[in-house]
Amino acid sequence: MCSRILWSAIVFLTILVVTALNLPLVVSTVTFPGSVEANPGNYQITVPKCECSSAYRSLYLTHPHLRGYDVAELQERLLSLGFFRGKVDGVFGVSTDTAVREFQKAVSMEPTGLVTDSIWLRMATGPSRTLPAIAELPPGERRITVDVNRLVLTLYVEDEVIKKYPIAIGKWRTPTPIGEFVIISKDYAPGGAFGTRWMGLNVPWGGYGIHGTNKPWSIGSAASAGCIRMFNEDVEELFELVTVKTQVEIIGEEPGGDITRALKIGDMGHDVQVLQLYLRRGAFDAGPLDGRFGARVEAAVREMQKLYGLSPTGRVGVNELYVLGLR
Amino acid sequence: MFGKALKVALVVLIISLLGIIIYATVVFNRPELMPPGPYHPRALVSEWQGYSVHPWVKIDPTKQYTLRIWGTRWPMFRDGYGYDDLVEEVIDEFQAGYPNVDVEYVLLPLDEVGKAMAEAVENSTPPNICIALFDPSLVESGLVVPINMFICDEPRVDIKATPATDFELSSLQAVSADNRLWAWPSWIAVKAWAGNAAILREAGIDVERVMLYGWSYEDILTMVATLRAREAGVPEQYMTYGLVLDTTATHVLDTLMEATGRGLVLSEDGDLMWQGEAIKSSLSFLEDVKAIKGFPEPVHMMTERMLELFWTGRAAVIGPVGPGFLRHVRERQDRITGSGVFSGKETVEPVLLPVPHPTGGMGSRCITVHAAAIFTCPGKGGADTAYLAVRLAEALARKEALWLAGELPVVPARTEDRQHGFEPVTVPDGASRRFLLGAAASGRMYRNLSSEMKEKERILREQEISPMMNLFWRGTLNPDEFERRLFESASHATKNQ
Repeated sequence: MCSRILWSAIVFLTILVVTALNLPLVVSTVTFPGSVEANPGNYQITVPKCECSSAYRSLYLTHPHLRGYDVAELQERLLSLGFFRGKVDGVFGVSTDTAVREFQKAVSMEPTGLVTDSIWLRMATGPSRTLPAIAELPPGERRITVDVNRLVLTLYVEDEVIKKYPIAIGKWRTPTPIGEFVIISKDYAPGGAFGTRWMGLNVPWGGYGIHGTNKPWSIGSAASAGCIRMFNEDVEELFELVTVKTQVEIIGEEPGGDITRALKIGDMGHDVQVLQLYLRRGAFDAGPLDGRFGARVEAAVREMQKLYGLSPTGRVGVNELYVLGLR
Repeated sequence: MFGKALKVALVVLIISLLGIIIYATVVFNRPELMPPGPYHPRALVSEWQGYSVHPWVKIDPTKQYTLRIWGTRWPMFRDGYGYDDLVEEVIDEFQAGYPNVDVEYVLLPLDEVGKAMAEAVENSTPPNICIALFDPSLVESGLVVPINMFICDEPRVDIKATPATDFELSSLQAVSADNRLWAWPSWIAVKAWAGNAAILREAGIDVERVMLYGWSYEDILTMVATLRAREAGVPEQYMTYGLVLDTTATHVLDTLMEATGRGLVLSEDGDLMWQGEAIKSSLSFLEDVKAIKGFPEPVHMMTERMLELFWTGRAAVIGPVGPGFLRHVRERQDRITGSGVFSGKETVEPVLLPVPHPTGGMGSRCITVHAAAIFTCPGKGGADTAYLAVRLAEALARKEALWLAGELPVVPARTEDRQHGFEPVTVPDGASRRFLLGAAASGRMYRNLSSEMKEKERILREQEISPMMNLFWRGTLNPDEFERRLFESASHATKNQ
């Protein structure tokens, strides 16, 4: 009898220990309502390499107090929601901690005073947006235009406007790049600052893209580190309507600046964009203003050189700058 | 009985023959009395002379024709109107008269039409019309249609033919070979150098006289020496140079040799034209300029600073330049006056200048002629298709010249068109305009007549002369050695044929 009881206890304890050790693994494979869907397609789930990948750190009351623009943003949001009563000074002090705990209680969360991604999402109580459904799209080439002056992203099929979306763009110190690019990657973003979707652009001097956000109140402002932010429901819709290689034209102030080096095939940068712009003004087909000196730009340079009687080297030196009006 | 019948038949035959002869003679002198057709007396005479395409070719209004045009994709637009719009207009006007004709056109990038045409002719698949720099070596293919029957000595009322006097003589000469005309001349471009008239006057040069009568190597050496004396003690970064030339390939030597009347390296018989004193004097001139520091250093790289030195008032003469240079001058002036951009404190008065000639000799002006040539495609259309192509090519050649003369300083081949299309705005001053018109009238185009010689010349230029010029500019090859090596290379090439 005892040996039976003893063996039962040993088995029970063994099961208990094994279950306890594997519990985190079990939990991680279960999908909860509201989390990102399992990847239905062939998209590679990777962490987007984006200029706006500065970590949204966890915020809490500590000594010395945490400081920063993210704290100020938190204070502003809590102020607008009616929980914060102090001064927006970017310092996570007692009043900020109190406001966070009050907010957590109000939304039935544990009042830990810890601000993580889930808190930011819960603070997004923007107006309910009913999106007009996009009827079946007409046939034709799809393209996107991003107007950084009007903060609008427009989806076109050929020349027909299909839909306009509000966006957020880069701050003054981290502007959104102007030019003509294409979508080179599409990913299901892991949430947080990138929201639910990511579409990477072929900007040669940095990792920029179109993505969702966990700060929907920033839409309509210059708030990002250069990327184009959209509401999650908007970027999810757009994600399904465009493909890799879709053209994205970002319009705003034209590329400017001097060309201070000789340019040849293979070079990249803002100065190449300026060259492309001036070639285009001269009616030479330099392709999109993407800052890449490729075969198309070289052919345009040669055509310009032949027209103006310069040696058709395909390289841009001082003579070519004079002809184009850059000197 | 039989004899009587024979006599009657003979009389009838003789009277019929007389009637035909009288009728043919009348119709030959008054061709409008008989509709076009293969039995028209003029048509029969043309065929006998070897011209299968003539104004009396009959066009079948019920037949569907298709014509193909190849041209250049000129990258110039004004108020949204470009060259393709011009071609469309010409086609629309043509189709108003010939609604049963479809026209397709292909515009190729600048300078690529010649190569594409050579390949097409070799494969016997040329378009019906090609409008480009005229290449006489294509004539030997037998696919080019002569247009002699469409050009007359004096105005005609019976047929649509253009008097030869309507064209600049030099343009007709450029499209002639074996006493036949092989294309409709469209426009003429003049090969020239350019200069800053302000600096040249300070150096004692009568600029207007030079533009009218030319100048010699000695004139230039004197000018360079005067400038050097004036610039004594001036630091290099502020110095003004007498000449800043394009050292790429054979560009400078080409223009100097053309000015001596030897534009081709090889004659049609394969003899070397660039030999002896003719080439040594030109190279010695350049060496003399180098010796008195008339070029900026390093000499072999002065091309890269050509426009910079010119626009900063530090180059008296640059070259060679084409029509695009004056377009650049005009655009720059527009930018300065239109946007209020400061033009700099230097005085730059751009003028076109003739290429200098050897001292004691006379200079020869060199031109290039663009023309619309008509081709027959084996198995695709006969004389009627070629006739339509001739008419369309004539219209296109004329319209292109008028349009292009508004964009570039080129001279329309038709003298009367200069009043309409040759706008003074494309040429900065009246003296340059006179220079262009004079050079277009007296100039000569140098082109190989046979494809074999054309290929030999190309190889000689690319593989021998161009590398030797590079060594010459670097100072490691003197004129005597240059001439000797060129002679050996040409002899070797001739032996290997």
